[in-house]
Amino acid sequence: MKKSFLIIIAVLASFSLSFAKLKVVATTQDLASIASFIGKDRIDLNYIAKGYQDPHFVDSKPSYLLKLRQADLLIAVGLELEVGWLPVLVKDSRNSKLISGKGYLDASQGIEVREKPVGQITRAEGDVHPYGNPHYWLDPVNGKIVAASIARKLGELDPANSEFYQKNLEAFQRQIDEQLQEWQKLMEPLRGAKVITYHRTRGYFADRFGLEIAGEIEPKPGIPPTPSHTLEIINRIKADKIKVIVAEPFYDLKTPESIALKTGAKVLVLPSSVGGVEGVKDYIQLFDYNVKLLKENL
Amino acid sequence: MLIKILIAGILVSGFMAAVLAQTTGAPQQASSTFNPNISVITDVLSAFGNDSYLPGQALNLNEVEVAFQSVVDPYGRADIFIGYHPAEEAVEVEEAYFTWLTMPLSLQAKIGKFRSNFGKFNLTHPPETGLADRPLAALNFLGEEGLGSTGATVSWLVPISGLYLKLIGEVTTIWEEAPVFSTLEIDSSGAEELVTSDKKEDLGYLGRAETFFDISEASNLAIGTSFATSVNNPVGDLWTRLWGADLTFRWKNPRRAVYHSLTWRNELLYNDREMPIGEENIRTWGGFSLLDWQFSKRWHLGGRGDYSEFSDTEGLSEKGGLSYLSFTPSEFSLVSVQGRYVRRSDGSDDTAGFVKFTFNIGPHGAHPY
Repeated sequence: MKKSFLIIIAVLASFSLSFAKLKVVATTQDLASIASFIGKDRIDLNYIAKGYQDPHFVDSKPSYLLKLRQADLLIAVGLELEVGWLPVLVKDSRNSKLISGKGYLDASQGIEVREKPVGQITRAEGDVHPYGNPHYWLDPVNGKIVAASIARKLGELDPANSEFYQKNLEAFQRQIDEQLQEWQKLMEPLRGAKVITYHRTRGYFADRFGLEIAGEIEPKPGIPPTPSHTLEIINRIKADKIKVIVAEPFYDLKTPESIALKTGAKVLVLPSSVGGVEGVKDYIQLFDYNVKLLKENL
Repeated sequence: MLIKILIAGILVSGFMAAVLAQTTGAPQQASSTFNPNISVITDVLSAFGNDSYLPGQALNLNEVEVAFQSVVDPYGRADIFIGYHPAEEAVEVEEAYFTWLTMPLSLQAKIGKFRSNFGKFNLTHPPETGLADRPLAALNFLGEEGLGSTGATVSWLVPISGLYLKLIGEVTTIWEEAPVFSTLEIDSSGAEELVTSDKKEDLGYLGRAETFFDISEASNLAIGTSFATSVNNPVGDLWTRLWGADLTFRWKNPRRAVYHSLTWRNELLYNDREMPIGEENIRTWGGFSLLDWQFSKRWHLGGRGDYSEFSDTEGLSEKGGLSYLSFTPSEFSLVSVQGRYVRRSDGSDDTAGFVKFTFNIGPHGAHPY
């Protein structure tokens, strides 16, 4: 009787293990969205920073540890975007999979990184990222690279579903390719148009869609606007007849709006992440929204 | 002296490495790959007022603290903090510990010299608090440098789904600089000195439980309770039991995280000190409440209310408060103007004003919440 009971327990345990979903935590909603295209219902997905949060500044709350301590995989943007909050969470998670690196994916792998500082790097340049600009997910082609990394990593950790992840990757990449043609068609008339951005968030997006970033509201990354720099931006907008100032939802709009008032430019609040504004629920919709608003206002 | 030797050593080794690199052209060991992260925080203070304990100079280099932090091997990491205190011309290893990050059963352990997990404030290094002084209760019970010693600690993240609950246990050598765990003696010259047991078997024991709740997306509550016990006299036959409770409320709208926040921190300490036969135990308490309001990206306004009795005397107390306005040009520097008033139960009082400036260099370290 005792033996049969143990056998039943063992069978049930192996059954539940074989169907246990991989627990995946992404640091941002963008990465979570891409991961959901790949893992669909075969992963248990969670994320830390919501799309309307500035991903540079997230509090390392103990409640996030609850997500990390059981995770099989942590997907991070990398390039030190999360340096102010993620290391302490990983350290305190007590999760050997994340700490050893086996369950950690730096999604920037394979990305052609913009704005890598050359020469000596100092904080005289503001909140400079020593490995380059980390906002690479704003180029949908980079989204394909991230998706490929995620599919590969999920396949490594969950070989039984490797084929499933690979198929979903192919479908996602096809969808991006199709959408990209449409987005580029819509943006084509705007090629070469100049925009001002609040932070150096839009470089990858501008490169892909042929926009020109004529300046930033911040004099240096992470440094609040100064009167002299603001005046410089006003003069540039007037001289180049720039129509649009782009700011992410989490920035204070006082300075952009004051510049807009003096120059006639329009302030566009564009999400840089999935979930940044109402209605942007996945990675495809993020570009739909951005392209549509730019098309209507440039 | 030690710091001079250290600097000289670094200069000489750097020079030798440069000479070797230029003259031999031989393949160099990529030692910098494994160098620890090095950061330095410097605390400059100007103090004025009628408190006789205030630093004497118009501007005082309060402390320079150097941190070395690195992964040691696949099993753990090391954190070393060395402080230079110009007023005492002293270099002190404030903390130096190894942490085993991945142990079974959600455990984590560290060994070495470290600040004890008694409350929240005690864990913060003095230059990092943003305050010109330490709360009266922290000073009167735990001492100028706070509670810290050499020992081992084990913490357990209790695996209850959806609940953050951390239990901590510590065993350390005696906390010899903490008034609550020592006896004040006055020698023949009239000099005061804190003394305690120097017996190897006399140790300090500490336990702590802490939890955390998200009240909403923007607000949360951290609650903790601590208990520490050790002997308090040179003979080692009288014990002190120290209880602590802390509660921290935080508000920060994640949609505007860099612009506005509010932190309300409260700590209480209760001391039960055994006295020689024939004397009643001394039971005293103290606490503080600190409110910090970040009203724009770079500005903080705050105040702290203090009440404290003394660890070895009943019937005496002091109360007061500190208020401040701080400007943080970036995450790496701070200028703060602060004012403090303290009134004692004997009727005496003092006022003090401070201008505090701190700056730090080195890698962008993530701070525990």
